Amino acid sequence: MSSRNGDKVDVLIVGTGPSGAVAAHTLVEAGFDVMCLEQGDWVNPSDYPANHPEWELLIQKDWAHDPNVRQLPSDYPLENSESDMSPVMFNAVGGSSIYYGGEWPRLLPSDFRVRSLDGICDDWPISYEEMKPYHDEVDRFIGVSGVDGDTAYPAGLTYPMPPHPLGKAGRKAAEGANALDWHWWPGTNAIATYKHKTLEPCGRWGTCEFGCPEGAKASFDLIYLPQALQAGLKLKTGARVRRVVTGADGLAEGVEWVDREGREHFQAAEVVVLCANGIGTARLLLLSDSAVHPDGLANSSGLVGRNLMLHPNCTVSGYYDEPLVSWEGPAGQLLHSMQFYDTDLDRGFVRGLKMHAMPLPGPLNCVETHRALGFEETWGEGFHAAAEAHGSGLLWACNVEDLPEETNRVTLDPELTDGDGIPAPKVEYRLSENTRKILRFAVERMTEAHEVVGATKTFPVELWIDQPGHLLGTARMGDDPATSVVDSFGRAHDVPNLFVADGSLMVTGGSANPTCTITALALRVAKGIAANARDQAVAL
Amino acid sequence: MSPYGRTTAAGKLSVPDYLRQPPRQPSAEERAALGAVADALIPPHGGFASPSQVPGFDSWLDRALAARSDAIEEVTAAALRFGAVPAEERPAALRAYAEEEPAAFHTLSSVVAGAYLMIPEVRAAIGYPGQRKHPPRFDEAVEQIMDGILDPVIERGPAYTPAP
Repeated sequence: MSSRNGDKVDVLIVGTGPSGAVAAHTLVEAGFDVMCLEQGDWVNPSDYPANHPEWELLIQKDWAHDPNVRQLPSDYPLENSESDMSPVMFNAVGGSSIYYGGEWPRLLPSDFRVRSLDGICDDWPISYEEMKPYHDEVDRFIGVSGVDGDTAYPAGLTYPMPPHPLGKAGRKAAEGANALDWHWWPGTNAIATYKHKTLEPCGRWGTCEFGCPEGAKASFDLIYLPQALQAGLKLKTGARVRRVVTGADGLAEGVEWVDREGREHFQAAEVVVLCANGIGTARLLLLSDSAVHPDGLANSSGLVGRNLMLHPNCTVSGYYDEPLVSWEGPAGQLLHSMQFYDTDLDRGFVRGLKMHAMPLPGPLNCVETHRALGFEETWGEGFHAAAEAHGSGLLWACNVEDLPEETNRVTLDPELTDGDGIPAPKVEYRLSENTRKILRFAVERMTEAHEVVGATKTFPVELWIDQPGHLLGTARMGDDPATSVVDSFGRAHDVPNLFVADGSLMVTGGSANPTCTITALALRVAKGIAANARDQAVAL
Repeated sequence: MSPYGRTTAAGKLSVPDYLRQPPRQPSAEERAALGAVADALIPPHGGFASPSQVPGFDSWLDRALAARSDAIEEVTAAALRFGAVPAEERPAALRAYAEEEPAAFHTLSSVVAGAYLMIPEVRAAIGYPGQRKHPPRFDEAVEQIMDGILDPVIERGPAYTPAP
């Protein structure tokens, strides 16, 4: 039995990850009555595994990236049996930024014009230049660190905080890139180099992708949400949204949600904003079918859930005959390279990849890497050499641009449900031949970058099955309701008081780590809602 | 009720319960078997005895089993199986296990190696300080890019593709 909760709010936001946090802060500061519903709860920096000496074992299960392995109460199962990869996420206040590395590169100008430049996919309805002021505003708010003037970008790219040290590992990677005449630039990270608002200075723990014990990484439970709460945001944790409720007129009226005891509630809202990531948002839209929206909410185009992009990751770990202090962060990117970002048909594929260098902390992790050499090299007499290599390692890693394909999609599984009986998402994702070519090319280049500066051992991984946390494209934006789900301000073509503000919006994915772009889009969506409030289908 | 539980034992949703001790203490026989497996995988080296003979190994083994409390029955059962194998045949038996049941071997070997690599003296010997706060000097970042290492990139100039 649903209970009606409190008063109708102006704006109800589903999810408190980067996009939800930015949208919430923007709208509450603009004077609206805003509520966020979050299925997880708070994580304290003192909770993170790196606080304990057994952290390398904790990340294998209890703190794994893959929710199907981790299986926390806030997680929901993903049906991945027809997918080449297992998407990852973190379900908590702050969303998956709890577990991202804080790498903060913007998309390049070409990413917004793939159709115009490469004759494939679609152009975005907005441009690099239109996005820039939103990026700049978010960067200032969270205190992004970096070096101004990256030559991979148009002039005018500056950062509010100084960079982090390259460290010995980063210097080694830079030497490799220089030897090959590659572009590289000191890492741009959403990690504070000095005390900034609610963020602490980086302590170089090196475990950013498993939570920052220092509270320096801009996870959005630590920045934006605290400021939003201070400004009056209402936040309910342990609140799992099961559907967006629409009326006979097709407009959103609010959401049904389930609390941590399994009780059902209804929260009314003038406007609903979905920020539940590229899988969760598509799932929720498909769950919200009705007589007016028989194929799922906002789905007259049939594109909700389709065009899922996951940025397949590949890596090459390299070990050297010199100490590289491999346990020292940030991780975070020590540097990035955009050398192979844009299309060069001589390479045999379209679009490209973004590379970055990272530390490789932990002796058990080093032993795990050496398993690829076989039993004799890892165990027995080989064990000690494998463990002792831990301080001389450096990781080159890539995000690969996977192109949007309608067959890569999120649907509702007919059998699997979460603990509240809500259908689980089914992920169908297959690597294209173009993507496989980029992955192979990337591994060759990263191996080259190691070998040119004397790596004695390299360990390629051509595809990380359990790494894709970049969940993109499943509610794409565009000007044409027949070929897109929402407009360039995130407003659903079919439901004028429903908005999407997360990675689902992205038309193409580029290969830059996307949280930076997601937050700029969320800021743009939220400002659009605020600026046009009087003209909404439901005026605010 | 969620298949993952409505909440953790501590009443949390997004934070797993942290266990300093395994959900049950291994029996003496299991402990001996785990030590035997560890000794087979990690022979004496550089002044260190076999893992089971290093002071403190048992307490770190408990910590490792606590961290993988989900697998304690699987790990102890496998250890008993290989603990019963004659010592001289144990490495070969473990090698065959690694080939035949790689996931199970992965868990077993991670737990015993993880325990060994937590021993403070072992960490000191391999030069691992553990993950900890170690902020840079004020001028460290500048120092590391002002020696000309970035100059080749800057000298090549803009490298992006203009877009219409």
